[in-house]
Amino acid sequence: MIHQPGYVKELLKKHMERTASAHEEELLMLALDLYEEEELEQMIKEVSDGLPYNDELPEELKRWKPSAREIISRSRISPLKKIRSFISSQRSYATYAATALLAILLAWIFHRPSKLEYACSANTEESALILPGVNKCKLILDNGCAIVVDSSYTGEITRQGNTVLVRLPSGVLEYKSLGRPGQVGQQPVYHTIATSRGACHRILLPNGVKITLNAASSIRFPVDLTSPEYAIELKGEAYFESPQQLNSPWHIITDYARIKVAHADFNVNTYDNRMVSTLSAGELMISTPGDNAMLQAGQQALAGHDEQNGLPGGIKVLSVDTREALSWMGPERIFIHVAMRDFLLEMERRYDLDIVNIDRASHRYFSGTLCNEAPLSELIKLLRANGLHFVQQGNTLIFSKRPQDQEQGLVSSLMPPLHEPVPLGMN
Amino acid sequence: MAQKKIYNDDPFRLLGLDHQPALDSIIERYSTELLAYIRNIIIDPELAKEILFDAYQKLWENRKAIAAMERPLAWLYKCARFQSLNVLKREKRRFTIGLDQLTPSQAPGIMENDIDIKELKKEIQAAVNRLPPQMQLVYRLSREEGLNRKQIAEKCKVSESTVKNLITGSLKQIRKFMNSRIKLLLL
Repeated sequence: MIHQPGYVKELLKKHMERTASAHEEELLMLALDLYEEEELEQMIKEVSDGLPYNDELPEELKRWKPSAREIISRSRISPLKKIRSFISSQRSYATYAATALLAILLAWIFHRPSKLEYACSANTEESALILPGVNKCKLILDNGCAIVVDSSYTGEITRQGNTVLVRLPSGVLEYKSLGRPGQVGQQPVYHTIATSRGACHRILLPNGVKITLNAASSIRFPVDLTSPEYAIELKGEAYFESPQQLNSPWHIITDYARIKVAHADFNVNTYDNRMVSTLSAGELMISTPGDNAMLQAGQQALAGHDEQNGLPGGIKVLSVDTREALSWMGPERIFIHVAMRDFLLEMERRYDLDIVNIDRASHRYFSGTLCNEAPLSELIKLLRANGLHFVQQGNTLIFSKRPQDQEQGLVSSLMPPLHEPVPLGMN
Repeated sequence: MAQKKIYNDDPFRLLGLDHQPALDSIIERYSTELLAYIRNIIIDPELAKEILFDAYQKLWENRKAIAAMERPLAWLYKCARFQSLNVLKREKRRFTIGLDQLTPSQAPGIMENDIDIKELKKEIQAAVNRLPPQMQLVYRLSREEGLNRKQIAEKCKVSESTVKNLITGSLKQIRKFMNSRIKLLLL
């Protein structure tokens, strides 16, 4: 009878094979009260391990996948549990350390400013959701109309003369020519595509030029190819790849210099009062009102206002390892001797953060790599591991000054060595 | 953006680092087989979905501990079994309430079986009534009111492990009592 585990297992087997009678089902339900959860769970395991694997699911169930976002947003761990798990994790560390240190460690646990820790751990769930490089942009027409294009869009967005703008399922915005001749003598129509902070977008222009637009950037360009001089105005940062068979050269206009392109793959960064153009293939002609320079693959041109080089009006050409400048598109962002302030400014754009009191962050330099898909929680961990002190509130990081740490040079010892980028993000 | 998916690594380990895409890839990889597994126990598709959702939620909430496990997938299966069991019990409660309200005239034909089940229920009740008072209370809170160990512990102001011991003890006694009585019943 049902007080015997063997009998209950028989009932379970019939239940799972869908051969149990109504009476047997009822017996099984009664039996569920007579055993502990662990015992029943073990019975279910034993019975189902003995059954052949049956993946006959209705189509609707086969396709059904819950969304990670929803799962995470629904799981909110109670503060009590958080604190408890925080303490217990410290304890497991204590056993791992020498026994003699136990008392000191325990004292340290209770003495520790757990308020700050608590504030940061409560935010972990949320910051795990904040990802960089969201595929989203804004299309602005010359009449001021703006359309926000995100993943909810696929297919045609707008038509302009003989050009149609579509968003491909892969997330690329593509301009397609309909093949009809453009009407001559019309005013050229301009489109502006802009990304906000924390976003990123790829665009394929009618002439085949591929653009990857970084966060907080915009490009403005004539939609119609027949314009006598094809020029793209750029603000922020973008990577351009141009096909080889373009008939005529085209231009990129930034606030600091003008770039003439025949065919080339190159990056242009204008975030910081200067233009940095890094060429990975082809040739470029850079010009400012007072200077001009040819750029070869593997070279970088600076124009505008640079802290080190000054260069009002001039252009400086350097030979560089282009991987660093282009790494924002790759799997990992490489930083080689970057000032903490610049690093944080980039993170502000990348994760759509607001950093308060950025000058209170350390004045050190940073070398290392950061996974380009790492959620904000990873970045926070990285910063804390490097001894930066700040309070996180959602997307806002508030830096507080801890002079004693900065004097002691505590930070630099934790920094990865120069010229040897270490993956810190995900290991 | 020219981003490659570089996380072909163990997604459970990455999950321990609060990495949301890792949860996505676990969902993508295991949902179908887990659903098939859950459906062994729970037929209703909506309930099966709910169980899987809960299992993933528990996975996320306990990601740190699970990432350190040797066989995290086994944990996920175990969790699915427990959740299925909970739903089975919950649904049963709903089901049995309905059954008790049935009068014999409304359910002809199953009279014979009905007596059997009713007798069995009586036997269980008799066994429960013979338990020491504290065990009785804990058993009833757990099995009749559907509270979990933690809730019972809070209500009775005892520790969870005491609750567990009391339940273990009461179940043993009930089964033992039934063992001696059922022989009589079947005569």
